[in-house]
Amino acid sequence: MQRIEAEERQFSLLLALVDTRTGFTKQELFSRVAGYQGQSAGQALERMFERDKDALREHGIVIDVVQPPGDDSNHEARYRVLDGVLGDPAELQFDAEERELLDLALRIWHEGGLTEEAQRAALKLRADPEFRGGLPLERTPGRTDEPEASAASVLQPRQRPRESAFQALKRAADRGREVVFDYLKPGDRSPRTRTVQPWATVLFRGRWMLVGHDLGAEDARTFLMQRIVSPVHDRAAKQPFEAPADAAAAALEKLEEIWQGATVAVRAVPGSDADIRLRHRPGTAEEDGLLVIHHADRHLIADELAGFGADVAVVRPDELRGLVRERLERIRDAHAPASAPASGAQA
Amino acid sequence: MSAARVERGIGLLLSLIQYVSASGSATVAEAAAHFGVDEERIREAVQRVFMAGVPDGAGDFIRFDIDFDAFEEQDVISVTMRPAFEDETVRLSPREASALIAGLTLVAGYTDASPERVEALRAKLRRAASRGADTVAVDALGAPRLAQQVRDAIRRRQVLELDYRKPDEGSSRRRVAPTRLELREGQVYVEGVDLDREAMRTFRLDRIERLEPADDAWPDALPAHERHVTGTAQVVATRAAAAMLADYAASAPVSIDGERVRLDIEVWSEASVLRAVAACGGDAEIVAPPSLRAAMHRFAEAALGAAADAADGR
Repeated sequence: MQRIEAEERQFSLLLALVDTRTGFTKQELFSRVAGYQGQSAGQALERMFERDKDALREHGIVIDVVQPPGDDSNHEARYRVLDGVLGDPAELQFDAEERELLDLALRIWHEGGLTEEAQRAALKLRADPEFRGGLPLERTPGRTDEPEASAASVLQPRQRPRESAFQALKRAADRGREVVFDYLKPGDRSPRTRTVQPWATVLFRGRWMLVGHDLGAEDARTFLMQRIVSPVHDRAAKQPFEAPADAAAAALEKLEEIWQGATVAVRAVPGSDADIRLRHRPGTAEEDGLLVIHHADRHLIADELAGFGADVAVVRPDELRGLVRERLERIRDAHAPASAPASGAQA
Repeated sequence: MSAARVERGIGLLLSLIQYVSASGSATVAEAAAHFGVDEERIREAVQRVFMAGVPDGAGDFIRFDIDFDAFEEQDVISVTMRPAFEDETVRLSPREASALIAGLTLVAGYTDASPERVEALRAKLRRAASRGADTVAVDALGAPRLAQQVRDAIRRRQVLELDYRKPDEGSSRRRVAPTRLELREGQVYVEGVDLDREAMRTFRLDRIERLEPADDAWPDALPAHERHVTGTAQVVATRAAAAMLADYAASAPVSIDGERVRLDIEVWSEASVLRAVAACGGDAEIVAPPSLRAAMHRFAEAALGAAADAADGR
């Protein structure tokens, strides 16, 4: 029998699923869809079906399982495309100005953890012959670039969520699985293992963060992706969970609130690199010759301020002055002339 | 790798059907150019759409039909029967919509689009997405005014005179033909031809003190971008600190014990490297060369001295 390619089988599966209002049982699907037909029932067929469901999910086609009331045998469960997955094609048509904006919005993810979503979105938008924007799916020699000085050539956005954790976290969140990883909390010297129900990812002041429910702390927490120091493992959730619908927006709002409320006053050498850059920082104000700057985490701002060296001195609060001093002392001591370089240097 | 994956799979099949239907018909070459994939992939996708199908309840077969002669003989794709996806389409997944909305939030301030227009587009994208939690969000900071001035100069091909300050150097006046604004990890960079150095240079926007239009003519040719790397340094750092130094890294981090890694970083400006290492808050140590180690030591001493002076002076 001729082998049916996965792509063709999945397309047939989709056709079957959109053709039905009431849904098909798994047995009905297996007997209708070429590629399942003729295969003996068993683990291999079940796994193929699971993989196909995952492949469709990657395109946003979520398959819903409807269990008839009073039946839990699983034989009568009916599969159909989740309501709301299909919509009016006009919803995905945009005018010229919108297309230019969307082109830029897609290009910002041209490398890193959201590239795949951006490419998939571009693929859907290109169903409209007028839409040519987004990311090249594959480099084709001789493809002409955009006309000179269009918005896209002026602005080259590169927002790289290059943190390797990104993909693993997104997939786990989509599938409602919990994640386990080692996290080096800002200010801590050694990592601790966290188990989290992942909800959403947010970008705040240039840093990517995971928002989720920390099962150890039994509360919502925000984690800096850059400080996830182990591979991310996922596993079936002990308690099924669903991300709150506004998880990402709520987390951003909370971060803004913290940013608004947390300040540090520094004296910056006039005209220094620190002086210029801190003045450009969002929310910075000048008071009595001091720069009052906002931050979202005292350890992170202490790191940043240590990076400015002698260009800045923290005036208040005392706690931050101490945190910056500790860091500079550690740097000084680690680089002291008499001390041997860190172990492993000669290795 | 992900690029190769996305253009495989049924996403292209679905989009291709709609693209061809909306166009009336399209040649394989046109479709390949539109989707940015090679022609073989388009032919393969057409074949698979044509081969796929399922029986409906009434004993008929639900399948797409194309003008097969036109396809075989003229490489023209024309859908003659469309049993599904005529008046409906697969919406954006929540993650796809999130990527679009978040991207839009980041770039909107750098365009001429009015805030109302952008908000309306965001709302439209939300409606075009299937149900689901918002899984990605980004903070919406307005574009700095300097960035907007640079953007306009790029469009008008206007040379700019800017006062620029590099760490540990005085401010210098540069004449720059700006060619590109780059948004990178929350920082804005200006790329352009430095007319005095006759070379492409990248400037951090938050180090520009002042900028003004200059009278200089726009350069005829754009020189290649060059970066002067003066050497490499070896650093031992925690994994998190190594991630912060990734922009400078010339090598992948190598684990040396459970918690720390060793990596080589490129030095094109000693002052910048010292600042980047110090901004790891003591979690990174320069192990070589000795001269840079000594410089890092002096950097910390000077900063501690300045902090003590400031405390005394209060």
